[in-house]
Amino acid sequence: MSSEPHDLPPHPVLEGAAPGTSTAIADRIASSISIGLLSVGERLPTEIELAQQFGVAVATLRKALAVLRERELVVTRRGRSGGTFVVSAPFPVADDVERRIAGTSLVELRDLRDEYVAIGTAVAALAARRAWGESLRRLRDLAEQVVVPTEPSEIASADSRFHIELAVLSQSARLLRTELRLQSEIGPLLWSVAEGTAAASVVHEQHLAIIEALEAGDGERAVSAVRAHLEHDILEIMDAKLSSDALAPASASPSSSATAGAS
Amino acid sequence: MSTTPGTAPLPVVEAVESWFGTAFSHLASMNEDFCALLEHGSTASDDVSRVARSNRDGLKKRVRRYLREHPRADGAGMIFTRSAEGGGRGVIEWWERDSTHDVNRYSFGVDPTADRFYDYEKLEWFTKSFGAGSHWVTGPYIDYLGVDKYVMTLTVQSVVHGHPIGVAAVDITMDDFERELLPVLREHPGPAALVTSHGSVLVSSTSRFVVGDLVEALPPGFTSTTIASSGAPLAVITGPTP
Repeated sequence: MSSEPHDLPPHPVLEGAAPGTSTAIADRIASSISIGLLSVGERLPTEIELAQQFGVAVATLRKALAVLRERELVVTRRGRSGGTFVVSAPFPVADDVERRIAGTSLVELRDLRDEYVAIGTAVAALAARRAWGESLRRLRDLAEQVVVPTEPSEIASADSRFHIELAVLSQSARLLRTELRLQSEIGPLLWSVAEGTAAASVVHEQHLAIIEALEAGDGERAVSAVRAHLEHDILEIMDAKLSSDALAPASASPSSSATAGAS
Repeated sequence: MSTTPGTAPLPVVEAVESWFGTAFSHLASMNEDFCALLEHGSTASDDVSRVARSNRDGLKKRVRRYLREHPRADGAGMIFTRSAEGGGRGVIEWWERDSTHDVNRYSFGVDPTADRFYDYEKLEWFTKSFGAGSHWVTGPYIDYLGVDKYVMTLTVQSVVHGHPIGVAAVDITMDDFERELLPVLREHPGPAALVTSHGSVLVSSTSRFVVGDLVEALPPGFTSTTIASSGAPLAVITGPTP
């Protein structure tokens, strides 16, 4: 679901921030991250490009980046491979989620699921042969954090943290990068539509099944536990899309209006 | 894993043992300098975070020297306990080589209330050396939220004013460790691999063992020799000479 920077959607100005101010620009970028248009690991365009895109002075844009850094959504690194990178996805507001889900086809969601399951199962198989006891205890700690919060945004970040740790335990830098991107695309959407703490306890059970398989060093069992878990996650998003499409007129989203007649 | 008692140590085992002996003695001597610098800059009644900041320039100078003398080290520094002080912000004084080989201070997420908090006191490299006082080799691991690289970490306990206050550490990327140790393993006429006490492969001269994988059972004809002279338990696995 990642897209080129010039695809940043036209966005209604969020409350409290006058258009063209650094806070308004920061909010727009944050909102693009929250719904997966910009994902974790991506490098933002240069300051000059962004300033042109938003039609503001470079100084204003710099202030907007400082706001994002302060919110811990981006980091700026110096050096040859430097730049400003997305490191964390904020939880989206309900309107953004609705628009995002309406504008995403079931085909796109299925494709997302395919990648999510492919990466997740590969990660689980590697973790099963690489993770040692002590590091699995840490994974267990993180699994328990999923049932602590009641706020969807906090459940989302605890759930993502568990999946990121699984990828860390796979010891594959490439798979971890992909998992980070997938988590930022999927996590906030999932927990915007999931049934809060009830869903969290289902997820918790599924996480524990994964840990037990890893503790037994049983790669095959870990893989099938992860597959069942991740497929379940994306089905929730698909179901949410189907039920919101049924409720809302298709013209709610500009990108779905063109095909409204076909659905 | 079994060891072979009563036989003369293999040259490859001695070479690996000597590499870690030197690595830990250099780390320990930097640690002694760190502790002396901080002890001079603070008093016994200061809390850990005050002690930690009492001579940042001194620490930096010492790390620069270390990194100059150890071109394979990716970064080095000192990491301080926060839980012993009631759990405020963490303190990490860490310097890293950048792409131009200059040395930069690296800043970590040390605010425990933030989303991207680097919860280092739960990590093996901290607990083993700070808690148990051991010399320790942790890895290989991806240091997520830390330096975000695939590394191994060597650690020793730091004691100031008579109290453990943290650990001194050096990171080596697994690429660089391979460049350093693979030639040593290849001196052995048969296959050889180096594994941690958990059985994780750190480097191997045979594709039977791949870096990061856990070695659970030795293939027939292979033996494992524990080395612990540096204080950090590791094992060298060797196979039959073809």
